[in-house]
Amino acid sequence: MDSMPATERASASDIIHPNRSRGAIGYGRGTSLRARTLTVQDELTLLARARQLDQEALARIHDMYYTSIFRYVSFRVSDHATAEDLTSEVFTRLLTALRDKNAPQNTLRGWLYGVAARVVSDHHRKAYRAPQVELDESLISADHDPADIVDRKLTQESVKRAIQDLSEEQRHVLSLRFGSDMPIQEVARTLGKSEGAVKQLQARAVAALARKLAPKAVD
Amino acid sequence: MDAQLEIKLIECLDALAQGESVERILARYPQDAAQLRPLLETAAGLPTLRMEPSEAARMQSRQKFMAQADLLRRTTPRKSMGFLPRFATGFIAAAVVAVALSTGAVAASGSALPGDPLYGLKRTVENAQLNFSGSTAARESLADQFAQRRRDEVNQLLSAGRPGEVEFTGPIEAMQPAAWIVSNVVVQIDANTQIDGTPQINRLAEVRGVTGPGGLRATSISIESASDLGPTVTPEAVATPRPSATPAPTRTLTPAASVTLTPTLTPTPTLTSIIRPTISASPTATPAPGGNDNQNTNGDDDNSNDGGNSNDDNGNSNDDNGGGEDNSNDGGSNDNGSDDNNSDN
Repeated sequence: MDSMPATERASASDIIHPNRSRGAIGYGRGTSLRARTLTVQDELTLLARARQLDQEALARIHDMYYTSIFRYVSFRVSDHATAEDLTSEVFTRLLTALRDKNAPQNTLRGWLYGVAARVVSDHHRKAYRAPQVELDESLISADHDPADIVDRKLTQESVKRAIQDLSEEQRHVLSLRFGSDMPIQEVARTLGKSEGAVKQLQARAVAALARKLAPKAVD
Repeated sequence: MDAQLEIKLIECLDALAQGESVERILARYPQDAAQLRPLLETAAGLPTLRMEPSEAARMQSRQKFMAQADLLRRTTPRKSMGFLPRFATGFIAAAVVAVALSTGAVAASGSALPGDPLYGLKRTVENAQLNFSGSTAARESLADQFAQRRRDEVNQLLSAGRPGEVEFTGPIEAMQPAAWIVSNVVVQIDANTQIDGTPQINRLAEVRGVTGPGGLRATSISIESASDLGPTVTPEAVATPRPSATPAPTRTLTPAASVTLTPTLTPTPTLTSIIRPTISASPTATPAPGGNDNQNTNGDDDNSNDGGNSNDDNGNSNDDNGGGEDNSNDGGSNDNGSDDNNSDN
């Protein structure tokens, strides 16, 4: 997932911010800066300070990524309280990694969303052993229009369950793209993949999900 | 899903991301609309799955995160203590020396013997001195001194009949099944003595053992390989002509056997009485002019090392001693130095 060399990542960030020179966006300017406005260089600086357990850097990381990671997590879990707990857990794991010197070396965002994916998976594994919400099988029957299913609040749980049946990579891409609301370029940067590869992954994930939700409507 | 449809779906998803409606997009793909519709509608519905965080939850998470970070900051230095002693050892040793010097304990520890309360300090100070000696030459000279100290300590313990754990290094001067003589010290060997290397006269042996009223009993002896002692072999070869003048076998076997019986070094009479024949032999050997010169140079070394009676003392073996002892000092003390470092660390 993070196999992309640093140089390619740097060029990916240049695509995202073609008109900005490095260092022009100091993350110290405002707390409302969103994660996507951070260049690779800024992120490396931030990460270096985080490794020193710098208070300001850590606060900045939490402020920048909390909303995006909450959305990512909530995309795959059924209730607000669980999403809150799991999002908080992602940040706790960052601290644990910093303590154990396992912290990400150069891609904080890729690392954070990777941890978010694992935290949600762990949650579902536990939930699978002790299911708390009954799955309404009728709602994912073939007779329903997928759009109707998604639109109705009640059916969201079913869609989330269907997402759990996708591959780990497909889940991750959909969560980043539609959960965290990242544009394709951001997803590509987070995953260390090309935009083309991400678009293809996304298309196949959408198709696989639609097939699970309404097998007769799709092929 | 075939490749053609996949490409169209990718285009459709791009358009969806640009904010176009599903109906408008599908209008561009009339032939594939039926297949694309459920896919696009699924994609269009996905953003509704996500939730927005409450400000309260965000603040709570931030508070918890910062508190954990704070705790981590305070506990991390303690955790990192693990690597500190490694580079601080030298500093601590220097501090020990400084404190010890100021209290005069070092002076007191100078005469400490193994088993004495101050003996540990004595060795620590020696190590510190070795570690902080400026040049290699200075270090070697110090190491020589300390190696000599080890041998002196053994002799002092033996003459007092005191128990103590000792280690010293010196050349093997004689070997019998029950005892060896290493650097003038009778070392008792038994079945429990662990011997590493090939024992051979004149080779350096590092002896570890226990002293007591009955003498020094070796627990382990490790013998240095021959390559370490290249130069020492030659003096022995020079010395050989001398025994040839007298019955050589008597020197190596008979005297040593009687040596074994003497528990400590003090009963020198037995030694001298047996070795005397060898001394009387050396005058007989004097006629040989070439060999004599060599002997004399060796003998001078002995005199300077051991004092006047040393020539009488061991005769041949002391000649060996003269050549070997220098080597033993070098090798032995270095060994001692490194061992000490290990044990201290």
